[in-house]
Amino acid sequence: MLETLQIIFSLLLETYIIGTILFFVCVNLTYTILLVLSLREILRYMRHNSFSDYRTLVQTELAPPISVLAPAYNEEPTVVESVRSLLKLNYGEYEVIVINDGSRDNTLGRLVTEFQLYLSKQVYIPSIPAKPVRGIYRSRLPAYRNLIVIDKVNGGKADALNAGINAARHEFICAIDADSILEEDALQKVVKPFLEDSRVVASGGIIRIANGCEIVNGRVVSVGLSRKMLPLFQVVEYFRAFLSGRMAWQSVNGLLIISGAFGMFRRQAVVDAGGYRTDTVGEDMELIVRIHRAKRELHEPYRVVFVPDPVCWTEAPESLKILGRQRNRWHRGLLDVFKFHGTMLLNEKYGVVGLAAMPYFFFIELLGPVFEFVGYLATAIMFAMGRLQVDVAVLFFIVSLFYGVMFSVGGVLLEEISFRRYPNPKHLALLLAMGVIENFGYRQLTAWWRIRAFVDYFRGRGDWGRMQRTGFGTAKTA
Amino acid sequence: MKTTILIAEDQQHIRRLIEYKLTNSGYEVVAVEDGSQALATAKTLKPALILLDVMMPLMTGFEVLAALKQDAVTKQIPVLLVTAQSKEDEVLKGLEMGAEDYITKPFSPNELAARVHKALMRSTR
Amino acid sequence: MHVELLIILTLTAAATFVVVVASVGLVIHKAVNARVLRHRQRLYAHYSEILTRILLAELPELPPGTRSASQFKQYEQLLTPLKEQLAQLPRSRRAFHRRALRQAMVDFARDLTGETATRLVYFFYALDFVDEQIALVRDRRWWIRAQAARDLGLLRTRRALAALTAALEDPHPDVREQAMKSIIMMAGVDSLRTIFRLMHSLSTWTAVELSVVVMQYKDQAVPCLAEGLSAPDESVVLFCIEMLAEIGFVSGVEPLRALAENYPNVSVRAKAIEALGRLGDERAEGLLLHAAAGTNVRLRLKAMEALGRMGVPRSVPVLKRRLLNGAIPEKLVAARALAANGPDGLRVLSEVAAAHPEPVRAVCEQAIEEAEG
Repeated sequence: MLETLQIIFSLLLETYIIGTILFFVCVNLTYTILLVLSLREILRYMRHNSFSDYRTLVQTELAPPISVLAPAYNEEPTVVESVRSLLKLNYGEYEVIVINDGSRDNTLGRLVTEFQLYLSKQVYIPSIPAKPVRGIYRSRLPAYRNLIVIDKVNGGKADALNAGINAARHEFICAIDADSILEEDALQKVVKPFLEDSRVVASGGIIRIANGCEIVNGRVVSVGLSRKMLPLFQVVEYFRAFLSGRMAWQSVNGLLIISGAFGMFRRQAVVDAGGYRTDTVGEDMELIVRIHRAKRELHEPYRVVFVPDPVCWTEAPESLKILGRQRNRWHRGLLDVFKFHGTMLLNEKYGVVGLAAMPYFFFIELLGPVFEFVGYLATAIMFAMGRLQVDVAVLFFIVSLFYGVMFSVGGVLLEEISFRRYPNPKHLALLLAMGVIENFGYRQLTAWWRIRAFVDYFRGRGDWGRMQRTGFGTAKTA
Repeated sequence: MKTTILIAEDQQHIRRLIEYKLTNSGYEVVAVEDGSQALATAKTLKPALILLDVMMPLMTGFEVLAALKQDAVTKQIPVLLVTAQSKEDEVLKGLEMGAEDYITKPFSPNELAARVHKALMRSTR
Repeated sequence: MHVELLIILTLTAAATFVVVVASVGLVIHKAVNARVLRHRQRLYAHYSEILTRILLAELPELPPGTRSASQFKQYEQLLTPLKEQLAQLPRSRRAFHRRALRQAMVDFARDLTGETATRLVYFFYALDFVDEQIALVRDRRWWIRAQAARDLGLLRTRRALAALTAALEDPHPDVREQAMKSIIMMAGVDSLRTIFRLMHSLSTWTAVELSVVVMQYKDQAVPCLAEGLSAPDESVVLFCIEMLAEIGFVSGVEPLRALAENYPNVSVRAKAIEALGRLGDERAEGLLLHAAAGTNVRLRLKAMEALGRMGVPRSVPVLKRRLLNGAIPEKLVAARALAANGPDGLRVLSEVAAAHPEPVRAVCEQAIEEAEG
């Protein structure tokens, strides 16, 4: 009896080990392919970009007008400065729509006094359902003619954006976080793909970590690195995710995320899709997946593109607690995407999205931490039972570390061959070192947060509503 | 004493070219590479004329011009704007703001020298 | 022992090693590169200084009517020291120097005209840069082709015209675009005819680039643009309409009217209607009034906007009908057009606002507010 159990156990163990190794090989193969694809794509972009004279866009009447949507929730201390810098972007015709999402502080009041706003009679057409609008404000001062402030009942970030989309008058909308810092030429850079190719429905910019940079009047004037470890890890992480991840996916039109901190859309495409979903914490990714889904089902040609130019800077969390909460939220958002669009997974009807991008997000991004965690657990159990072949385990661990280092360093390298925003060789060396160090501890920590997200997701149904209401607030602290 | 001219132009080769041309035409030339330097130098040096590029980093030519015209010390100094090709509204804006004349890029160095000369004649008269 | 694992380990170790070495190499490279860059900048400064001197060197005045050959002889004399300097360099360094020199010349070409520019172009020919660049327009790598096309245009080297015209049909859009801009810069406004004939499916971006060039010529471009209205490619037609409206040349009115009435594609008709509004010529009034009352929504909207822009008193009844009967976006356009009609239109708006419930009233109020604020 005991013997049969032991045999079964060994069999299980064998399968598990083989499964792990297979998974491991697949993951690293995928990453390698992504890295190579990105490298090619970035070189192409850099060359192409060297022939683009962005000044022409500012000079001509042909540049399409853009509506910039900035939701704001309890941002009294910073809102005026944020809006001021938004009004100073270098672009021909654009409007800035600030959506006050039922703030409990004096966000609206500050805007009203600062920009001399009055209650406008502008008609609001709710093409997409959103919480009621209490009023639309415009400025008395001619200098701020392109500023519109919408005051609405609180409904979360997605709902605020939907109200903004309803009020937007222009063909292109650009959704941003009120606290992200845009480069002056951000709009030109991100609108360009739409002009070059009429099939483009959405384009996203790269998000960079502003910690350690010198910021004056809402502008990054000199690029630097933080002295703290946590933001440094995130810089490397962002390079890996944006430059080697999204760049590669966009080259095969399988880009599934455009970050909520900066993304541009054809307004009609978003309205047709029904706007942002308000019942998820991952509304930015969900929208893109939904657009992919709709377009593929209708067999319409379309493209979702990624602009690797640094256009948007954001302050990264410097405390473990807040960072953990952010990652937890991201992962729950990812879970939602698969809840809503699980049918697309491994479905050949959705082409590269169904067969490559969705599986990648499902097995590697979503379940990867779980596999990793189970691996650590199994190793511990085997060790306790004396069944662990220490040499194999050590070897395996070293191999996986090597790969981790390779991809992190690869991301930094992509930055160095392309944009070189970190002028000092010391910065580059520090980032490369971080690419190595992050594999000892930081990576495991993020994996842990993501596993916790599973627990929260499946246990915390009741928790959901509360998260939803304050979700926007926590997003801001992040 | 020679007449002093201040040049503000961010592109090194063009700055050097203008400097060379005007020095050869017999002026004392001081050249700076951005708007804030231009402003600081204008205040201390009090040149007879300022040649100001509109497209400059940090501080555009217009910002410098506005600041110059607000300061009692520099208000009287004639300013020549150098703008990109035939942007009419920019030229008009510059003239409204108190610029003496404008030169559009691409420009002819000989013509530039002639215009500088003419502007100086006008202001001394 | 586990041979497979050892192999995997060795392979990954090798791969990681390569990447790590590459990155360490890159850090070193960055430091070294900074030096190379400084060296290049020094060279660039060196050559732009030499160029400044020979470009601005005073030459003895030639008697009027002398052949350009004698002028070229003067130029050649200026160039001799530079040529000798280059010839003395060893081959490997010469290429590096020539690149810095070429860059300096191209940068100067961007900002100079007049006799100085003529001199610069002569230097470019005399230093054999032109043939070198013409050969590069047929390079295998598209970015090299595009750059050659751009540089040739900046230097206005007419010898390159044939090569550039061929590049208008290059498979890569960036090369086509650079060739197009260069040809116009070099051969002037008449080359637009060739471009309109050869180019097809212009992207908005290409149109943007082209518009900046066309706007430099303004009125002179009008005949070519008018011809372009009958181009085979729709995107070219759209572009020509836009430019005619932008330049604001009234002789464009007749052909635009024909397009607005008869063109098979609605986008083109809509664009023509919009352009007529921008031109503001009263000969278009009848057509616009007709379109504003027509069956196609898109044309109606454009026609009403045009009428609003022009301020046509006769249009008040039509606009009022659309204000009452259209969907909300159409109501808004009609109301704005009415508001643009001065006191008459505003009076109609306040009457309608008083007599009708939401959403008509709200639309009227918004239009009034916009007109007054």
